[in-house]
Amino acid sequence: MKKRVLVCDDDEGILEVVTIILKSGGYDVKALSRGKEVKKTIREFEPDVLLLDVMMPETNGKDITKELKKNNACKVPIILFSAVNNFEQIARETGADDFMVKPFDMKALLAKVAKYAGS
Amino acid sequence: MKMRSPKANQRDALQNRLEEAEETLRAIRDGRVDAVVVSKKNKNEVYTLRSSDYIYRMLVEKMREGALTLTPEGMILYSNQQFAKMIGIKLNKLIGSSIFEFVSSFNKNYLAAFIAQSRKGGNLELELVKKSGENFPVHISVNAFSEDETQMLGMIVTDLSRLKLAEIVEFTADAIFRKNLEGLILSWNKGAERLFGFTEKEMIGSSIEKIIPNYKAMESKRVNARITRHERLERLEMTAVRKDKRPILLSLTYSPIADPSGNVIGAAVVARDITKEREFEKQKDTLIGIASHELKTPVTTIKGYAQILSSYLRNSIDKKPLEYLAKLEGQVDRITTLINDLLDVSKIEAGKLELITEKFDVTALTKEIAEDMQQTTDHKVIFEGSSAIVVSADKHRISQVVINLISNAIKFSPQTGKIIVTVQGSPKEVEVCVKDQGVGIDKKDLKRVFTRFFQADNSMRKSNSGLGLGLYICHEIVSRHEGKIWVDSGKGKGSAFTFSLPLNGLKKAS
Repeated sequence: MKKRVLVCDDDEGILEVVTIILKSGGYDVKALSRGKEVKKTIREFEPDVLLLDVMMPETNGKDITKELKKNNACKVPIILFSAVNNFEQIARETGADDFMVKPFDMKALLAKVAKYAGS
Repeated sequence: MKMRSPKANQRDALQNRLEEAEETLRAIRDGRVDAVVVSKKNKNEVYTLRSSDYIYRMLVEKMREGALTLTPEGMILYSNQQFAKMIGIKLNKLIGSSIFEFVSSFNKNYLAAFIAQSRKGGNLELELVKKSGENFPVHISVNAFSEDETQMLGMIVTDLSRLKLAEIVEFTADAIFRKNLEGLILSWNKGAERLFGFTEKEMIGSSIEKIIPNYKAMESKRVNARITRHERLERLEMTAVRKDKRPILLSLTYSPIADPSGNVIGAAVVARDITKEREFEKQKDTLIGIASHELKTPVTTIKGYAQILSSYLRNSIDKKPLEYLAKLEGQVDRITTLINDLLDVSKIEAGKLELITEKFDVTALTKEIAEDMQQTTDHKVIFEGSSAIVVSADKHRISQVVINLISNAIKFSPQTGKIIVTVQGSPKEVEVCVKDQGVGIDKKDLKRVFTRFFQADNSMRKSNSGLGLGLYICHEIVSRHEGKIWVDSGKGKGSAFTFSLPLNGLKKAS
């Protein structure tokens, strides 16, 4: 069975590119453009990896991660897309597992997702 | 023997006569002589201390202004003590010299023209120069008169420096006040009235706590300890409260004030409101954050689409499209570097370049980078170094420096050549060197290579565009680690860039 990746970014371009790349890598991908749909979709889609953009209007990636990782409630590995290279700080704040600094390389993205999806 | 010029002889004669006259006057004043009798053709004239000239003489000698008599050419025939004191020179040195020696260079022509044009005299303001070289503003009143048919000039010189300073203090936009060591306000200028809303009357004699609550508990010890050591304290930040209860963020500069015996009795304080400045800084940071996110997102997308297209075209017979896509990606990487450089510089300028330190092996890191970069170039990148050297530093930032130096080496070696990367350790520090066989840097430019916007060589600019920020950023990163960065180069001789990092007591690992 295909590994599932849930990706949430408010930028349609990023969503499309990431979806194409991950699909070409053999993943089942679900793309969301609004942060507040993430929690519900995790329950329905049961992803193996979650990709979240840090900076989004309304509900941003940091807040979602903080909430999901609180008390270790969510076991899904979370990879954040960040424009700044200070992941250590963000990780401390939120509990995220890893990050990709924009602009990221698509091969690097595939490698990172593979690492956390266990594929 | 050398002949003395007639002018010099005349000057000496004049000097002697004046000295004699001075000596006579001193003798009369001291009481050594009761009177002086001057023999004239028809009768003898008797000059005594109480003669009518005395009061004029005393007026001139005792007044607070400088008083001079000059020839029309500007030679000083007479000066009172006060003028000599203003200039900081002995009176006897002053007599016979030219007034122009004591006029600041850019005012010399101004004074000469004034003397030439105003035969009757007039007033002017200009700058004189003390013997110490210091300029000071004066007001000069010039009168022309004649003595024995010889034209002469009389000058009254008023030192304006104290007056000007008082005016500046009173009307400057900055708040300036004086306080004693107990924190009581001794003076309060208009700027302070505007900044804090309290009038001079309301503040003089009041405690500084009226504007800086908790001042005594919070700051006074720290401040007093230093000002009593005659130290000047600059840009101390404190929150104050205005009369209307509005809080303001202040930048304060304390200058100690001493009594005549040298004991510090208080401080003059210049206060500047930096509330708005801070707000702007915060807004700027937010703006830069947003801009970086907004720029990096589309760049990621472009790069992504280019890579997707490449994979579609991977098996096509025509290789041109793939070549163009590789170029497109290369350009995207350039934009990324530019964005990152600008972000780094704005962080450096704001003093916000944060270091996240960890222990890592510089040798392994440098080797890895050299090997990675070998994949991207036809240049031969040779790594030399074997033993592991552990430092405590920001790994990401140090990688940035190494990558930057190797990219520069590649960029400035148009003919493919060898690039040698070495890591060497000593008990105290580790040195990383990147040496190329490229165009090199002109000796005259070597000092500027680590400054902002430096571009090595104009003829290289077209082919090696960029902002000229890379080496500046490297320099800042290395400096923040308390290391050094330097270059050894010459035009056409290649360049060797080296940076060192202190080991901070960490021993070389085997």
